[in-house]
Amino acid sequence: MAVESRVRLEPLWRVRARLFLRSFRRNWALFWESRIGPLGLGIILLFVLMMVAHPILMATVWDPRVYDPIVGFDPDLVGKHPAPPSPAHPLGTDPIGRDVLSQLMWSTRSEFALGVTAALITVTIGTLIGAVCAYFGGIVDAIFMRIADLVMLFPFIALLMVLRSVIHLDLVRLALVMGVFSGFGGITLTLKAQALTVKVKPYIEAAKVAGGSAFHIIRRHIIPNILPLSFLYMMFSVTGAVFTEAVLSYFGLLDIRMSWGIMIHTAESAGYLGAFGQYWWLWAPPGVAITLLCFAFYLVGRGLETLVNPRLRKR
Amino acid sequence: MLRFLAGRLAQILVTFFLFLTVVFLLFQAMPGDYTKQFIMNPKIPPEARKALQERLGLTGSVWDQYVHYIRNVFTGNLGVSFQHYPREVWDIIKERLPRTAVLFLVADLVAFALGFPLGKHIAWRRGRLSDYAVTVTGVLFYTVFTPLLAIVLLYVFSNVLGWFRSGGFLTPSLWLRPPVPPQTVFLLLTATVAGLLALWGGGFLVTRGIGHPRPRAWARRALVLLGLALAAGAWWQSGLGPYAWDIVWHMVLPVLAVTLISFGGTMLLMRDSMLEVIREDYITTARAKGLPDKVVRDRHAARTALLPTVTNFTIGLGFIVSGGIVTETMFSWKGMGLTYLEAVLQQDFPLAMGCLIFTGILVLLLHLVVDVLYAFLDPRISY
Amino acid sequence: MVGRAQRVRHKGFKLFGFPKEVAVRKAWMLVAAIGLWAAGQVLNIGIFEDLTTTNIWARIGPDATVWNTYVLAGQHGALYGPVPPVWIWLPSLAEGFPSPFVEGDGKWVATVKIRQGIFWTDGTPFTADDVVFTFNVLLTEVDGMRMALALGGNWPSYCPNSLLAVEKVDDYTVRFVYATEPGLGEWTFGALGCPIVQKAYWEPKWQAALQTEDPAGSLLAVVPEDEPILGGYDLVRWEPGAFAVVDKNPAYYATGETLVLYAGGGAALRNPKLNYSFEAYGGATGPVLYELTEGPYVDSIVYPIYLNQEAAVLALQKGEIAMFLNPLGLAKGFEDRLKATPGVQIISNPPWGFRYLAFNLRREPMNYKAFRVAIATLIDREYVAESVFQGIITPMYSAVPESNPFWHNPNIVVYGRGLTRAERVAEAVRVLKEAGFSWEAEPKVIHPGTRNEAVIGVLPDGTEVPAPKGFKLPDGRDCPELELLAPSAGYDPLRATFALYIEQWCRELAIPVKANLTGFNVLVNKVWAPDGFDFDMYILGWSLGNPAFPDYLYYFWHSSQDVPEGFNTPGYRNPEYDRLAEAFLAAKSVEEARPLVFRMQELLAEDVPYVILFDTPIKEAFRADRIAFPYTEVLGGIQFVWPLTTVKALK
Repeated sequence: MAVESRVRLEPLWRVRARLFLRSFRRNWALFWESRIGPLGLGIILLFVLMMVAHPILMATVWDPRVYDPIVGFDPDLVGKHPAPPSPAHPLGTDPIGRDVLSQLMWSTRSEFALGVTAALITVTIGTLIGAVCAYFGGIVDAIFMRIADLVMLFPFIALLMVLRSVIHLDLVRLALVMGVFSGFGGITLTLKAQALTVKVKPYIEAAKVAGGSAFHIIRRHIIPNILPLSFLYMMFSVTGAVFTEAVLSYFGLLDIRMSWGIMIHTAESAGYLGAFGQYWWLWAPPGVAITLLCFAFYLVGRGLETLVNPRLRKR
Repeated sequence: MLRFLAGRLAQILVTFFLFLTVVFLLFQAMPGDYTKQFIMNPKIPPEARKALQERLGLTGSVWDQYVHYIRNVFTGNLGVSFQHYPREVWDIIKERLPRTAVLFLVADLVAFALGFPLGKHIAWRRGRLSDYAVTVTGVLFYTVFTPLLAIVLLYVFSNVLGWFRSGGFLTPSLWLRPPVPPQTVFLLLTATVAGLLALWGGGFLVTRGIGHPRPRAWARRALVLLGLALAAGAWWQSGLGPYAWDIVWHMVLPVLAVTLISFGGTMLLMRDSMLEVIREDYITTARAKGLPDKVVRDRHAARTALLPTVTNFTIGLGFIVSGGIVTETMFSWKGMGLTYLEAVLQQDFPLAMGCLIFTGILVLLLHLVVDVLYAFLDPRISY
Repeated sequence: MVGRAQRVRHKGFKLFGFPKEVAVRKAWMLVAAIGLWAAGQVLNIGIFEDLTTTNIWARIGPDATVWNTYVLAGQHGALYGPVPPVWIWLPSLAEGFPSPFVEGDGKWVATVKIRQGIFWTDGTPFTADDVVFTFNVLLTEVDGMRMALALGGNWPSYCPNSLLAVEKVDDYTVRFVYATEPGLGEWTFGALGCPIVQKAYWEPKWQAALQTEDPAGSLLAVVPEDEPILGGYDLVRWEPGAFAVVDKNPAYYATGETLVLYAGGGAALRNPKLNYSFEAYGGATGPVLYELTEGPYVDSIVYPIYLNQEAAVLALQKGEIAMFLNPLGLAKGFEDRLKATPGVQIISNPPWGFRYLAFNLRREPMNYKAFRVAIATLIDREYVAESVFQGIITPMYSAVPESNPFWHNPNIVVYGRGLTRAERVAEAVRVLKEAGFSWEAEPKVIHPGTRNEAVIGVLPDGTEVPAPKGFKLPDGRDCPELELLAPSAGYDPLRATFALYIEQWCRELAIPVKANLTGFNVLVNKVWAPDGFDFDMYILGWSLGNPAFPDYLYYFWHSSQDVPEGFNTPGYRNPEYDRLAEAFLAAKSVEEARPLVFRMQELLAEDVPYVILFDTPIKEAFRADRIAFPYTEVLGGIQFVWPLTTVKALK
């Protein structure tokens, strides 16, 4: 009796929260068990820390005229740039006298913004199309699948190299283009396949019989069930976006003022790249940062895979 | 099966047509044109620019240009390169494709040969330290910033150790009076790789008849060695040995780079497919029957898990152009990727479009191959 | 495609002559031992881009790349040419200077004598027929257009519209007929510099081309094999994507020819082989500056292609190549690294070009001279050059770079020169206010004379100076946001950074300038938009062509070029300048042209349609233990010592 009344009193949101918490705990345990997932997450947190620290440092200890990542310049070291690491510049300065650490930290923000925006757009489009195609099939499915075929014919980096002369590719537009383009690509196939397995579940039939609209069924039943997989692909998309930006910047093909790729490009075009050990602070920090961030998101993705695909679990 | 193929071909044609249209529109949308470069020289009067534009087919309405272009592509005419005027695009692709083909074919095969068994092993040893170590290493190489890897390899092997030249695909001094052009050698090398592959595949099928595992393994090894010996002998006999060797020598570093980057993909995919297959009932049955682990792994599990891995591998082959852009630039390997990059930067539309169209055709064909492969390899699928 | 230039005329070295087995073993060793393979003298010189053609019509025409020029320019000769390192104009295939022009029947005629005893590589003599044939091809009209225009590229400048005919007088005399008396650009630095081809070789090909629908296209499509040449080096092999090889021409007419250049400006030419000598510009006056004897001294030059600079630098350090060619010169990092390499010598030469800021005079407020002067005053070239870029760029001030003393005018006005940051700000504010510009809150310099003096009223440091804001045009309207286009850091970090500094300096004064760093193609297509110039301000650079005759001064600022896709991008219209520029093009001698050019520079400096900003000195590295140059001080760098007929190989 008492138990019953307690249940009745508890509002729905709390039940939901409790259920969510429980499933989160279970999933977290699984994620933790993958070991590589948490490793990736740790690295990502490190980058977040760097991102957050930059404006704080700029506001407190770093003089903007010296440490500005784009037009900063250390007049005390004239003639010595690129200067090796010193207490004032823990990662040295670049060929035109800017602080490498400041550039590295400042760029983290744009890498995150770019990667996450692009991945979000990709996954949103991919999930919607995947769900819609799976639910309706027929002509809708055929159209989107042909589009996906078409998109998959284009080598992505090669395509962006052309697009950059058509549109002025700054960070935001690059994220948009990358997101939309990959959203219509191969990801729809995977998500559609997943949605198809959901579609044949008995509860979908039940919802249909109960008079649920297509929109309602897609929104309440199909999408929630493919979301974990979408989330997983989001991680891989972040890796793809960050990598693509870095390659294009490295080739000097983007109109971005500063990024990790640009840092390496600057070192290269000024002729310091091949000296390897001698000027390591010019290429190693951005190079390692690009690799590590891509690596970290990929690992998180791999870690999430065990949640999404029970067959990959240990037991 | 035939009906399936016909339907698939029709679909491919439609997709290809759309692809051509998008490529055309894309390059139409690019501002300016090749003749803009003449702005850098004020002595070229406008009449001369107009004449050049006409010669390059840049005048006329967009629709006219489009019709002209589609007709040309379907009659196998990819146009004339602006940069190399008046050389034909197709001629340039023919010159550069073998270089890229050999490089990536070899690298992808090596990566596959490395990734496949590794993936198999770590799936079997799931959760052990070796699994984590190999997985993390694989992911690291898979996500490494390619130029960085290339720089490290060049520095270590070319600069410090001095084993290789710092780029290019041949040593000029050796090729001053060659009996055949390097293209021939590249083509012959491709043929050699394909031949060895065929010999290996054929031998694999033939030796299946041998009942005992040990003599079978020996026979296979002997076949591989025989193939290698034959190839080496043939090269020696042809007198082209040193030339081929020179090219192979130059290939080592780029192949190493591509291998390191791509073996992780194959390996991780193989691992996942294996893990999925292991859950299948027939594997449990096989184990329950008391078959040795190794047999279950290699003969039962791995074969089924091979399918998605092969699919991925085949489709991946289609992207040698874009994959080649970074690798080829870093190693001064003038193949398709670099050709595309230069063509885009120089606004040499026909050449850039030619490269894209070529990739498109390649990818479409490979997709078809994958479909057929599925039909053959997966007993569950029938058309 | 392969082996389109595969031709062995003479064997400087013999390697693969032995039986196969030996050759095989040898070759295996060779892979390891690069550089020890040749009996003759061989130079290895790296290039960064492949040849795109071996056809002379295409090379001067649509395929006129610097790389084609480096490798192939040694093949064909011209009647006259400017000679580095002093860029005086001297006869090459011609004998003496051309006759003066004589008018008759409304036409202007001059004759040129050509030297006797010059032979093509096929052993036939070089005569007036070859010269006449070359020009006849260019002068032929097809469908109402001259072949020179149809071929495009540099051909139109060798065959100007005013040239009517080129006729043979006798075997060694040619007559040039012009419609009007030609100026320097049409004559001295035009027709007389045209590369000459052999009639016997090209005549049948030309006739065949004429029969086709598109003669120019057909001529360009010819893949020449065994084309007889006159120059010092001939292409013997081209391996696309890998390397090209030129061998010395044993029949080269100028081998052994000495050229003595005197401090007094004079030159003396002596060719014992042709028994020919010539003195000009006052002859032997003053001490000898240079004594140059033509070779070629090197049997063969191999041009391996490197697709990135890094690889070429490594090859240079290892001694695989004696030098590499790069029209932009070495970046600072390469210089730093190569300095430490034994055997490598680095030289620096002034550039022949400039990077500049252009204003669109058709728009507000760039149409106000005061506004342009104020911006020019604010730009502290010296600070950026010396501090930020640490000497890797040279500040520039005049439309003719200082490195060309004959044409450069050192006495021009340079706004803001020598002023401190604070003084520049004060001066810019004064100039703007005088012209009626105003602010809601006027900029004031705080902390003058201290390290922080450049900061304008933004730092709260006890002093309460309101930040400047509300920049207004003379009529009281708000100044619109102005876009400063510049190449992105990916294309040129120097210009990108310079643009950001200019943006910052303007913003400090509340002048709403916003730098927009874009890709090169996007920028060029905005500046030269098809229907008129679409920009406020932009930063780009020019490479300036022939140092002996700066005719760009006409094209960049003459009002006739202020048309869509013309070259007068600022829209500068000054009747006095127009008159000077026209007179300059029509001048008959450089002495006559010089004062005009000086006055033009003064006008440009005063009116500032362009702010000439800077350029980078051309740094080049070569292995001093492998290659010896007769001189290394030359405008634009030793890459202008081409085609290397005076260069020696040391190992």
